[in-house]
Amino acid sequence: MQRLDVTPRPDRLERTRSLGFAYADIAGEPYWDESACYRFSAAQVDLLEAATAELERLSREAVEHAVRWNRRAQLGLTEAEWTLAVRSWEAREPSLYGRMDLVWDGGATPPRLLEYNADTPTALFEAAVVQWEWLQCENPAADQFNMLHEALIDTWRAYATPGGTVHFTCVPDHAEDRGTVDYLRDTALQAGLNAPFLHVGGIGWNAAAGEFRNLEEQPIHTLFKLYPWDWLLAEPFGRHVAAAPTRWIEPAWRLIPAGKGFLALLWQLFPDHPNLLPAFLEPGRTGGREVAKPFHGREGANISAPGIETDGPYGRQPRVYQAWAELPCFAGRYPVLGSWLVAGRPAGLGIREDATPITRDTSRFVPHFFPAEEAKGQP
Amino acid sequence: MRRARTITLLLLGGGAMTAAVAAFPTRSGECRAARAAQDKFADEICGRSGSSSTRTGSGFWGGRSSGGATTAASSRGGFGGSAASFSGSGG
Repeated sequence: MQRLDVTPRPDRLERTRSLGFAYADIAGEPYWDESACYRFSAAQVDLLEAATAELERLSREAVEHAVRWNRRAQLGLTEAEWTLAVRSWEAREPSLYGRMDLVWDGGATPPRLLEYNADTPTALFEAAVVQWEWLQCENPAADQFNMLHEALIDTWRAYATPGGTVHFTCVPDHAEDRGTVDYLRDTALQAGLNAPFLHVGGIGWNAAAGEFRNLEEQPIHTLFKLYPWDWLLAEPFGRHVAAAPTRWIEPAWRLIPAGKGFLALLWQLFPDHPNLLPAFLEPGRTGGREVAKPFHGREGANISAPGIETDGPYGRQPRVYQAWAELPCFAGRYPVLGSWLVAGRPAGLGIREDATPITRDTSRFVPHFFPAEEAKGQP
Repeated sequence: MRRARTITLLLLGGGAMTAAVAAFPTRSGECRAARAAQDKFADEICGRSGSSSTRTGSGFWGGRSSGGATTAASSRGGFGGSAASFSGSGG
């Protein structure tokens, strides 16, 4: 794993815009950063893929354990959240996608899980399409850990009714969220579905029919929501979710792995697993430097570690205490490896790096590649 | 890892397309993965192991709801309030 300095394409903004990527720059600062890239070996990519699959296996075992033994309190979920999550898990509702954030420097210490974005992961379009377009332009003979686009279309085809309708929602006026949702709509359209958008405030509740409806008063059978479950259920319409026939993507059981309390459960169930970091619900048990994360925090908000304190709105939440794993530092940048899963299977890699060891919403996305001649199975 | 890829976009970028690179065998193992995950729809997925274009889908997502016959207007605005305190909802 190496970080390489490269010369950005002079027309990078035009190129990314032509793909419909609306947030290559955010507030005048590059978010899509092609002044560098990461180079892996094929063996390293294989290892990352295997670690992701292993962590997914552990996660599903841990969800099963949590449901069987009612670990609601440890996970910090409300009764309403828990009831929905259990019902959803027992119905084996399919997951569309998720992203595991891993720390790894490509060396002998295995990739380890920092957290699992199992409910509302973003940075998908840039991982699936934008970095692939960059590779075709800059190094077309090389390869990339990236099967996201095909996997998403395949998953829609596998789980959806041909010609059916999946509604998509997120908050209005947020470019990154809308970009993620529109990309997923694109993949659904390519799978032969109808994929209308409505903003989350536009979702209607029809009491007479007992169902959620769109703006045209048509029932919402399936809803992809880039909107956290814990927010949905805390809001006025949240009380209708359990009785409504709507199917949700991500399903409600994703509340379980998405919470940071899940990290402590994983460590409890699989202590000393090489792909996990020690994590506890009480401070001081990791035996060393540790980072405190709010149970339902996002984007690096309200993180506490020696010498580090980030702001955010999650300060009142309970916290999990995870052993501090120093991110590798390449030329003053700290990369986190976002390893994607689609339908529970490894599907690609997106790297975000920051000038600090905490990955935040301002952290830049940097593309990657590996030499194709090293790839297994090449003719 | 390498796959025959032509990434096509229908909605974004006005239907942009990035170039294909090279041939690679069709992905296999979908059925095996579904079995391993004790996927409720494993039988259907395994039964559709051929070309994805021939798939019929399990129907879990995107079906048609019953209802829709009432003329009463729905109430709205019961979702979205949490977002006012945050910037974006993804992570």
